Amino acid sequence: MTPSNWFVRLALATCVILAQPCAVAQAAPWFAGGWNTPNGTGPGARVVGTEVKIDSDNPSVRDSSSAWNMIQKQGTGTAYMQVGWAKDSPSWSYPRYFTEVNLYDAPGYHYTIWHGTAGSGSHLYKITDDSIRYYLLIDGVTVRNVQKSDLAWSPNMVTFMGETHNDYDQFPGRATAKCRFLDGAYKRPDGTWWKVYYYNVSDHYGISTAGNSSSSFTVHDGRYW
Amino acid sequence: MTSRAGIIALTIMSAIFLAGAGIAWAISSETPEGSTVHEPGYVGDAAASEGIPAEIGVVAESTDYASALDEAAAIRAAEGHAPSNVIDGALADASRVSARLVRYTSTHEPSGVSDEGKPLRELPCWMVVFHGVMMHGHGGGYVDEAMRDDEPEAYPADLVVFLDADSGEYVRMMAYPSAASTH
Repeated sequence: MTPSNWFVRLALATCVILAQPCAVAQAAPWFAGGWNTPNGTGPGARVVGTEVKIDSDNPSVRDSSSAWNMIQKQGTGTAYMQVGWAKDSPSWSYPRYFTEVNLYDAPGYHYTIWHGTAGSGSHLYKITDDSIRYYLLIDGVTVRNVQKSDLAWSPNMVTFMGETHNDYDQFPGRATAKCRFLDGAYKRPDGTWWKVYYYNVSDHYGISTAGNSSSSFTVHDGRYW
Repeated sequence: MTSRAGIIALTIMSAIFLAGAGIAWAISSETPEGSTVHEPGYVGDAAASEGIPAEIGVVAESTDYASALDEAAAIRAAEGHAPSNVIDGALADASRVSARLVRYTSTHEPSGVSDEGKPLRELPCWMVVFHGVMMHGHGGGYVDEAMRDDEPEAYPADLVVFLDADSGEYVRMMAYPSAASTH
């Protein structure tokens, strides 16, 4: 075999090896955290609000990751309303607060707003409602409102998650500085608030400590100490 | 008699004047704080010309404010804020890119401020809009892994970036499906 043939074979082998992580990277998004449905409230149970404190945890955030509080329609990945923080670009020095709402129950109809820079420490992310609108709040300040008539879907699930999109991103938190979710609660249509007991989600590299019925849990990326 | 008629006439005229003033105040819609109140769905001439839907909470009105940035610099700066859920290279493939000086008001954050502490009320900004950019949803609703698609479906969206007209600093950013403006 001539040196040029060796070079071609080596180049092809390198391409094949490099292609593997790229293929894996397409299987996204991944989640780590906890979720809850208002079990025991009978058929047609709904949630109309939720709140939880989340660490911003900027030092452990690399290229693209986020942590948020959400109400959603169970069983669908597209009908949801989120409020949290995200570091969506390596060019951003710090995470930003964000809200994202799916309107009209149409896949792909995501309306996203990136708000101001997220401060360090723990912040309260809340969704609540009145008869006409949902309100999304950060530390008690309304940052967005949504007309219920624009939503066209009914939330019945509470979800607190960290999320990442591919292998090159990072789940919020690391083993030595985990991202903490604290004091989760959800709101029923009668206006009462109830403590959330979590079901655990540990997905891909994201590790969650939810599921212990405590008032807090953490998420972190298992690849980083 | 004459004076009584005069008083009556004056009273009626005063009542008409006060009523008119009240109606005029209501229509001109100046609040005691001086901010303008608009009809529901109002987005301003600049936002309307870019097809920005009211649901995203923007009022943007054209201005001839003297900015420290020129248009090309504003577009370059806006590109640097694009989120990772924009498909690689999609900004360059945008169907249209526009940049214009506006006075930006956030209807979602009536008490909001920029990172520099400036109220989001008629704030002079560059409004840069990338039309028809392929992107994924920023987040996702949680579903069991077995029910998840391998690849979230990308869709054409409009990405709007507001930059402070004086400092060039990031103010706010939003995205929505391109079809939303015709929804």
